[in-house]
Amino acid sequence: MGLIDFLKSVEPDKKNSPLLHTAYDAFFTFAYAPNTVTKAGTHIKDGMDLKRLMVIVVLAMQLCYLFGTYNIGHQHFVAAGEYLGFIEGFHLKLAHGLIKMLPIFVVSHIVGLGIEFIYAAKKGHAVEEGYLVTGALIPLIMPPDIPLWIMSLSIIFAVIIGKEAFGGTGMNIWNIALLARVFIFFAYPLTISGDQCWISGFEKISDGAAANYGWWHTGLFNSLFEWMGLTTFDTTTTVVNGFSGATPLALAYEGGWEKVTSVFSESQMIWGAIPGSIGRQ
Amino acid sequence: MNNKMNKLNLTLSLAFIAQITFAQSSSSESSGYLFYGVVALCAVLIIWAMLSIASNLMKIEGAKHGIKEEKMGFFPTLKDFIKPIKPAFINEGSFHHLTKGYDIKLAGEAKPIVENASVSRFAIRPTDFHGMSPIPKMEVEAGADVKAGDVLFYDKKRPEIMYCAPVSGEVVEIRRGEKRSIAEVTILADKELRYKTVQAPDVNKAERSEVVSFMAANGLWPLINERPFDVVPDMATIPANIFITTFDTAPLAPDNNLVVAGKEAAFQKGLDVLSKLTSGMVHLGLDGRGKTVPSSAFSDAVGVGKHWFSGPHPAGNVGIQIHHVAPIKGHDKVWTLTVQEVITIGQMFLTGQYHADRLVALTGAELKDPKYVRTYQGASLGDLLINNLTGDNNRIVAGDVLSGTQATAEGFLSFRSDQITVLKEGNDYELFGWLLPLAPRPSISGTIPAYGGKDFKFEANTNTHGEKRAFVVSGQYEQVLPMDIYPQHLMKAIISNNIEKMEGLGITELTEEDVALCEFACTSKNPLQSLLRQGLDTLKEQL
Repeated sequence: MGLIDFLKSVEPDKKNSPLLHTAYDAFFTFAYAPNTVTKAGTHIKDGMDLKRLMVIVVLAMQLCYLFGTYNIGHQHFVAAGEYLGFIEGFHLKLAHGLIKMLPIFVVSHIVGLGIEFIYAAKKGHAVEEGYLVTGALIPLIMPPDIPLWIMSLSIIFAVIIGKEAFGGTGMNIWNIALLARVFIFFAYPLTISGDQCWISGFEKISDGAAANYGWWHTGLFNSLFEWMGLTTFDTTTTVVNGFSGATPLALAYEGGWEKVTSVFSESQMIWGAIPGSIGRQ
Repeated sequence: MNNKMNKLNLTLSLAFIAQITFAQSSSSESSGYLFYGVVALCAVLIIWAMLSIASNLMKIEGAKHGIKEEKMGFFPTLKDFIKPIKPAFINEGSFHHLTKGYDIKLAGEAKPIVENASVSRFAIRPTDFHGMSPIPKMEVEAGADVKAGDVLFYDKKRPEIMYCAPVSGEVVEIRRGEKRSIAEVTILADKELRYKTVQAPDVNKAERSEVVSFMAANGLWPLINERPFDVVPDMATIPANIFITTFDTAPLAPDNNLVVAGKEAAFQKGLDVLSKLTSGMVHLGLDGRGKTVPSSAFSDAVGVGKHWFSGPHPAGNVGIQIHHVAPIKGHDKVWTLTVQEVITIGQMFLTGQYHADRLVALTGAELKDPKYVRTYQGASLGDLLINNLTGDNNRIVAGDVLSGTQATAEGFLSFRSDQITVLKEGNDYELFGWLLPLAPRPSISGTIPAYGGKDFKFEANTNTHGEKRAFVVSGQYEQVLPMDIYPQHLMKAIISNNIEKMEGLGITELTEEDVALCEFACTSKNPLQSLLRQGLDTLKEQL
């Protein structure tokens, strides 16, 4: 029995459980390109479909993700006054970045796709792929310490008001990802503006504030790094004296170009090794 | 092409600059060089932007005064360096190089050998003509004996326009469709055709009205196609221009040089007749792609305007050519004909007989022996394809794969089609087909690897390669339609039934075959051709 026969044998009933069927259909068409043939009009069709188009966009974002994830860790340790060189403490920075970024990425997709599935089941059409791109864009424009419930709220608002209310993918009148950010900016401004939000992993950004390490840091990664003979997360880490967490723009507002260059070098700003949203580089 | 080169250059130069600045910043501790380098680069970019805006403004102003674009402006554009090479054989007429479009290269091209087909059954279908009443008035009954050129039926709304038999023989069946409409009039052909012979008027001396009524009475009028709407024209209409395309860029399309070979005189006669009918001019669209030299019947035709087109499909579509030569304005009507139809008209005026013979290209990867056959209008597909099909999971298309109609072996060629394509049905599942397309398939997207290189001939099947979705602004339509039209906006206007917008967005310049390539390329798999027809029908009702 091939995979396709197995998949066909577990197909849920469309009438009794529409939501389940929609989810099944989404995963089935993910695994297998459907066997539909052209009816009227052109008899052959381009190999490109919406799934592929969207996935190509997501692939194009991966470099941004890679750098953004690492930069979360880098900024964390710069604030702590440790591993100031960009490559120093590579494993710690990457681990911290992943700990911060992955939950945001996963929650963004679960919440957004969940809404898509519900609406697709309700309207009786296949799940459209527009959210694949939105779901990958939203983490890139969020600060690394964003509370997940706030982000979930913003996604629910953006997807329902920005897209589903107007008929779904292709009929939205606003950019969903930006609408999510706008929602947070007005509803919970402190989580997405000011000096406090751009550096992750501390109680708050002020002199001597303690690092906020959880099980993932001290339990999982520390034991892993110990076993590999690498340096580990130090729970006594604090914010170094005199560190403000301000972004270059905030510094420029205070004291002009001089003030900016006293904290960041030009090449840091060109390459993006500065505090900010995950994907702002 | 031009656009791609620009993008490539920009990316390369940015990468190059980044490389230099990175090397500098890592070699010396101070990042001052980098900073001043960026400032200098910005300054250069700003100066360049100002100059190019000024240059463009000069070009616009120049265009108002009728000065050619190339003669104005500061910079040599990229176009000047990669100017399309005009083939040497172009002796007269204008040259248009179109960059938008896509050539779908399919396997199964017809070999340039012409055979005589042994076809016994032919059919004329009233449904091939848009806007005809469903039950035309029949002039013959089943069992009647007809000669080629005898009247079969006419439309009750326009009783002067006759529809004639392409072959002689016995009318064996008048098949009825829904609500007793007439679907097909089938003729069992004689071995030796007998022709009805009439006295054709002398084109040089006769009045226009005399020519028109002769053509209508002898089955020549339905050969003319009127745009907008693709209908058989009214007899009172005087067209602004008449357009004939002498080459076909559609996938596996027949070669018109073969069609016209030996019939040069009839073609020229046809052109002479048509010149009589229009207030404007008869325009020929000629193949300027440079691969083959057009027949002298086309390039040396007299009394017509000549326009050479080079570029990928749809450069050979008459609609595209009209758009670039003399666009349809206001309530203008424009007539279009194919080469074979012009020859039929010419032969009637030369011999007084209705010669509806057609050279038909049998094409497609699922044929054992793709070739050209000589037969008549409305030939039976089963007879044409006998002993030539491989496998049984095939689709037979009367026409090309983009705008042809699906048919069965029991079906007949449509009134205007000169091609049959047979391709595989794509009714099977493909594991991760959207993500990892292992089997080669044609695509305008660079993300699907071009297996086998630029000239690879695809064995495409009829799979939709994805499901239908809502329109997504992906720019694909504009990439393959070399016209000054926004197809996606037009389609949305049609869906929302906004007639004013449809007209404003240029629906009257389009027919199905023009948007067929957009439909092929559509990411969302939307049925653009049927949408366009729906829009045209709505618009026609309003007029």
